[in-house]
Amino acid sequence: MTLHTSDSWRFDVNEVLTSELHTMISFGDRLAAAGWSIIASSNGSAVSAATRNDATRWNNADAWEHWRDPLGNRDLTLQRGTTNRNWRAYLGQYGDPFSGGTALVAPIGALIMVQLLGSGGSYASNWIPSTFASYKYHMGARSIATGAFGDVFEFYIVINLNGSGASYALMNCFAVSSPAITG
Amino acid sequence: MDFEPWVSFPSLTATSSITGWYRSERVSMALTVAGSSAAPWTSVFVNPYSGLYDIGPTFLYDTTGGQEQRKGYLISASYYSPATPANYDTINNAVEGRSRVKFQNYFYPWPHGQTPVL
Repeated sequence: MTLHTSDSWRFDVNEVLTSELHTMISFGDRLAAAGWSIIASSNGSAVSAATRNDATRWNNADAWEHWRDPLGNRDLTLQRGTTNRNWRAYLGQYGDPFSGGTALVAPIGALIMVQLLGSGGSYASNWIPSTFASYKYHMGARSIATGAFGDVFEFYIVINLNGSGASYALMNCFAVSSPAITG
Repeated sequence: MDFEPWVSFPSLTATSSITGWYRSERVSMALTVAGSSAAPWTSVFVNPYSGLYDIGPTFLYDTTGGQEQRKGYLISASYYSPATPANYDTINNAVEGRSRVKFQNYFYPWPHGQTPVL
């Protein structure tokens, strides 16, 4: 899970998972490196403030992490389902911090959230392929806000099947409007 | 409302395609979706809300050539033609700020100087 810093992004690329949980642990590492704050987490049994989940804590049904972007404007929750392959994620609206939450239920926003991963409240079943070791994982989180109004912190996770070129976007958030870039 | 529209196109088992532009608004907000997985935008993307070519530089589309949008303008982007069967290419991977790797029809930010091992 080597951290690559480039172009205001914090990357992990060309990564082969050693376990299904590896994805969210590495993704959390990118968020942290990009300046996101961990607000709280759950290991499925108890909520811990300002604490991330390691592999042991993630390895329980309903474990979750609650993140806040570097400017404190938008929240993100990641939650494990009944297996290490099933996940869901919510991204909040600008200025709507998530609150509440129990050991089994991740915090939510007062306003309508966007479910980035899974749908209708359900988990994305088998989001991590059973043959996970046959895929390369690539992910990144940007350390500066972008977009025309500068309030979107971009991130992505994309995978490809080794050697085949087949690729799948697992979860991402990109600003729509173009910022000024150089190069 | 959110100041900045943002987009997400997660895909679980199908090849990646933009399934909609999502714009959230605080009041009577529903996730506003334009486009669909059945009819994703092709060619160069037009922001369905502004009607302008103001989509971020992440969203590049390739058939046989390349175009990259910057501040609403299209520019040429140099990268290798797709190689069979791989569907990834890089743009100026040695140059900071220009590194992208193409997965399906979309270019993702990539650390410069890191060779994709796909």
